[in-house]
Amino acid sequence: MGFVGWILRRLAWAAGLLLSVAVLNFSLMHMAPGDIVQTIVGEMGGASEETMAQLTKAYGLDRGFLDQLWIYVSRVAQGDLGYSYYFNRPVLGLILDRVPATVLLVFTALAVAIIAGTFLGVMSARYPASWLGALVTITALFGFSAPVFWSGLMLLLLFASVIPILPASGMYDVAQGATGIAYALDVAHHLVLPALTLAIIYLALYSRLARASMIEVLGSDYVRTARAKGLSENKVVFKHALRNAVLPVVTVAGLQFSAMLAGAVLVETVFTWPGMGQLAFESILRRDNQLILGILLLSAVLVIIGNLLTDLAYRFVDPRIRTDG
Amino acid sequence: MDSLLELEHLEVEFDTWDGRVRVLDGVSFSLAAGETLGIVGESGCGKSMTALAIMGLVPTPAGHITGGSIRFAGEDLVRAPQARLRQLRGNRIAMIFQEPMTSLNPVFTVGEQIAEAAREHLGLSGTESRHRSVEMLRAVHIPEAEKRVDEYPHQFSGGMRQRVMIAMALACEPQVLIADEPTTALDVTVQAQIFDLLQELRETKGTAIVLITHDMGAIAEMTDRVIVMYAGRRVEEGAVEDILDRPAHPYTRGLLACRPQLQLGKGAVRPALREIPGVVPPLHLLGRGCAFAERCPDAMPRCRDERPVETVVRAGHAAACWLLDERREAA
Ligand SMILES: Nc1ncnc2c1ncn2[C@@H]1O[C@H](COP(=O)(O)OP(=O)(O)O)[C@@H](O)[C@H]1O
Ligand SMILES: [Mg+2]
Repeated sequence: MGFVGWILRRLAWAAGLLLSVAVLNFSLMHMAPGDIVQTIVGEMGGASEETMAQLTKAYGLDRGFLDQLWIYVSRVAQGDLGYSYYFNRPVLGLILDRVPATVLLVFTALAVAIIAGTFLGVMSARYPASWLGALVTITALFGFSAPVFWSGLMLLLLFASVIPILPASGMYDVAQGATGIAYALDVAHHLVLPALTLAIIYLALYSRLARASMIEVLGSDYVRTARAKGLSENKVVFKHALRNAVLPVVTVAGLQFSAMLAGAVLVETVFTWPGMGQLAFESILRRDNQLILGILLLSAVLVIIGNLLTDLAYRFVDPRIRTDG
Repeated sequence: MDSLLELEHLEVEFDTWDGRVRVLDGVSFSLAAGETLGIVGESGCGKSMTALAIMGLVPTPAGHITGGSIRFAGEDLVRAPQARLRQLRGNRIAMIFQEPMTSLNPVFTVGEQIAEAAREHLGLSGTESRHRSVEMLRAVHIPEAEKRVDEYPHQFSGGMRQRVMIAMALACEPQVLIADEPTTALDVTVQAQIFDLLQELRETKGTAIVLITHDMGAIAEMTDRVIVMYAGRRVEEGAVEDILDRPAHPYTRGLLACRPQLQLGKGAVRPALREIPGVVPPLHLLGRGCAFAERCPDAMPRCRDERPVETVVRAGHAAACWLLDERREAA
C-alpha cells in the first residue's frame, strides 16, 4: 500500500463525496420556496400564462423531482454546470474566471496565518514572560473576537484613508494595464488588505495553538535529549521542537479551510475582490439557482483539494503517518 | 587516584509553590576514568537531578545550582558558561534516559539523530556522520544497521530504542556516560541485554559510567562503588561489596531488604517487592534532623534534632547516621 494507492483511495472517496454534495445541494434548492421562472418573470415585470408555461418547460420544472435530479447529476458528471440567466453565460466558465482570485486570496491568507502565527507562537513560548507573550495573548483575544468585516473595515480606514498607502478595492488598476512583473506587483499590492483581513482571525488562533503546543514540546523528553546532545538552543527549538509543534497547526488549518472559504465571501465583498465569494453574493441576490448550485459544488471541490493538501503536508511532516500506510 | 568527575557539596534549589526547596543538599562523589559508580535510592531522592546538574540541564527558570562544585577534568562546570557546557554535553559527557519510548524525536530518522552529535562536536561531514551512525548502530548490535539507519523511532521496539539512545550517547566517545535508570521502562529480558551492552561498551571503550538504577543485581555486577541517596542527600558511600554486604545506614539496609530474594532466570516474573514503610517526605517539610528519622526503625531522639555527620566506617566507606557515632563512642 504505497503512495499511489493512497492517492487513488482518496480520489474515489472525493468522487463519492462530490456526488452526495451535488444531490444534497439540489434537493435543498428544490425545497426552497420560489423557483427560477418566478424570478425571471419578476425581473421582466410580469408575463403571460403562455410564456410562463414555456419557461417552466424550458427549465424542466414540469417534470418530477427525481427526473430533475437525474438530469442535473448526469449533466454535472459531464462537466455541464448549467447556464446563468443573470450573467447570460455558462456557469462553469463564469466560476472558473473567478476561481484564481479566490484561490490566491485564501492561500495567501492561509500562508500568512500559518507562518506568522507559528512564528509568534514559538517566540512567545520561548520567552513566556516577555512583551511578545503578552502581545500574542492580546492579538489572539482581539483577532478571534473581532468579526472579519469589522477588522476589514478598520484596516481599510487605516491604510486606505488615514495613511493611504494601499488600494482599497479591486484586484488591479484598470488604468495601468500593466503586464508581467508590473502586473504581479500590482495584484500583490491590491492583495495586502484583503489577505491580511482574512488572515487576522486565523493568525490569532494559530499563534495560540502554536504557543501551547510549543510549550508542551519544549518540555518533552526528546527536546531534553536534543539539549543533552549539546545542540545550540536555536537547533533545539527550530529543528527538534518546531517540526513537532507545527503538527496541530496543520491539522486545524486543514479543518478550517472551508471556514476560510466562507470568510472569503465577506472579505471579497468588503474589498470588491473579484472572486467566487463576490459571485456567490450576487448569485444569491439574483436567485440565480444554477449559478448558486455551481458555486456550492466548486466550493466543495476546493475544500476537498484543501483537505488533500493538508494530508499531504501531514505526511510530509510526520513520518509515523507516512510509514503506517 | 585521579578523579575525572568530582562533585563537591552540590546544592540545587527549586522555586516552587511551597517556596524554595532544596532538591540536592550537599551531594559529593568522585569518579575515576573508566570507573563505574552506582547511585541508588527511592524515587524522588534526587538521582536524576544529580545527573541533570552534571549535564548543565537543571530545568530553568525554576531550578538553580546554589552551591558546591562539579569538576570535570579539573574544570568547574558550575561556573562554566553555557557555551562551554554545550561543547562538553554529548561530546565528553553523555547521558541516556529512563524513557526510550519518548526520548527520541519522532520526526527524524534514528540515523540523523545519532549523526547530529557527531557533526556538532567532531565536525564530520554529512556522509562521514552517516557512516558514523551505521558504525554506532552496529556497535550496539542492531541488526541490518545500514537499513535501519534510515528508519524512524516508531519502527523500533523499546529495547531497540534504548540501544539507539546508547549509540547516540557514545557517538563522540565520551569519557563519562550517565545512565539514568536505563532499563526501568523495559521488559525483564531486555533489561539484562541492555546491562550486558553497557558492560561490553565499558570494557571495549573504557568509558566511565554513572549508573542510576533500582536493580541491585546490576549494581553488584557492574559497579565499583556506590552512593546511596535519600531526600537529596548522600547518606552512604562505599565500595560495592561493602554497601551490599555490610551496609552501615538503616536506609541502605531497608533498600537491600526490598530487593527480590530469588535468583532470576531470563523471562522470570519478579515477586512483589517489599517496601520500606512510609514515603520520602516532601522536601519543604524536612526538619533539622536526619531526613530518614521518621521512617527509621532505629531512630533516637537526637536523630530528629541534629543532622547526622558522615562517619567513616572503614577505608572508603562512610555513612551519615548517628547510630555509627554512638557505636564508636561506646567502643
Ligand atoms: N521541575 C521541578 N520543580 C520542582 N521540583 C522538582 C522538579 N523536578 C524535580 N523536582 C524534585 O526534585 C526531587 C528529586 O527528583 P529526581 O531527581 O527526579 O528524583 P529521582 O531521579 O531520584 O527519582 C523530587 O523531590 C522532585 O519532586
Ligand atoms: Mg529519576
